[in-house]
Amino acid sequence: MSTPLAELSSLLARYYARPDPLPGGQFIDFDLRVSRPVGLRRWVRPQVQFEVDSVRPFEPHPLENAFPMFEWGLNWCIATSAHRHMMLHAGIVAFDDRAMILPGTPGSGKSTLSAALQLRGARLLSDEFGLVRPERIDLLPMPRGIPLKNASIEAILEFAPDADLGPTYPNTRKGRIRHLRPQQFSRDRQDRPATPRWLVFPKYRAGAPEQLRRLDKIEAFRQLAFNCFNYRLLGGVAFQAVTELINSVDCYTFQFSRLSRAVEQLQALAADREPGSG
Amino acid sequence: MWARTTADLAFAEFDTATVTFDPLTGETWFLNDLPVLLLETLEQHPLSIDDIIARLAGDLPLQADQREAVLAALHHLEQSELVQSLP
Repeated sequence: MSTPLAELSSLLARYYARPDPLPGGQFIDFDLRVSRPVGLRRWVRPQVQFEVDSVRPFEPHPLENAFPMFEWGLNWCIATSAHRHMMLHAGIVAFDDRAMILPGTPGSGKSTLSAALQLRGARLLSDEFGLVRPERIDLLPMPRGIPLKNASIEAILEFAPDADLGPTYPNTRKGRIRHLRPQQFSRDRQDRPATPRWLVFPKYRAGAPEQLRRLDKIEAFRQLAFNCFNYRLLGGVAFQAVTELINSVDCYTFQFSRLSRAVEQLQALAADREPGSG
Repeated sequence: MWARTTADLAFAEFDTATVTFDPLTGETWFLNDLPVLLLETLEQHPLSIDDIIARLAGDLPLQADQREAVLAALHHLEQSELVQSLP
């Protein structure tokens, strides 16, 4: 990753720098560059462009959104190439090394829940891409900045006033965004896979009481396959992986509105104290 | 005669239903007991509707509406390209 943009460089160091240098001979998956285009756009409504292996897959974005663009670009790199793994659209946190998978479509609350659980001591593996190794049915950590959107920003700040949030990006294609920095605890363990233990489909509903309900495994299969980005591409490999994963976890739906109560209930679940609904 | 379109279907059995994956089409199907039984019955070789019913019924007489149910399930499986009717 290279960039001449000092502010972006500083943010990348804050979110991703490892205390120990990468060992030599490391295989480089993507050669990324985020920079300003040449020409008039350097001066009039300045823009930023994202390159991967010298290809620009996107239109330029406003310069002030360089970091969100980097994050989306990195998502694009993973989504288009990491097909040796099954990719779940899911937040994932781990308690010890037992993983709670939180799949969901945008707006379900998976990122907010993942952020809040991390702030209460769970290990963050992912807020967006859950990577499953089909041959082992374990989950690979990818602790990155969690892009909190719109009202989720205030929800997290109310939940944890000292949460380590980055700058505010008021006008992105997904609205207002601030990134929660992954905690050192999670980053230090980013080479340590976790074992699936719980599969919880969250659904945020304003004003609704928290309800954690057991989910039939067939319905869990259907929803998990739906939330798997490359299910069709992987075919029989994904079918087998989803089957094994479903058979190795307890499955739930989780309706929530109050973040503190929601986190308490999921922590109780992780402590093998299945909470009552309501 | 009725036949499966492939012998290579993968099955995952759960408490309330069975999921099957068809490698020919890449589709995943959620099936209840009767279609699964039909796919199992047709696993080895094609069978006529009378042979299928005879195998399903064993020594028990099959009611007319049950025969209709078998035919309906076969047509459903045909639409899903899991079985085909042969001349």
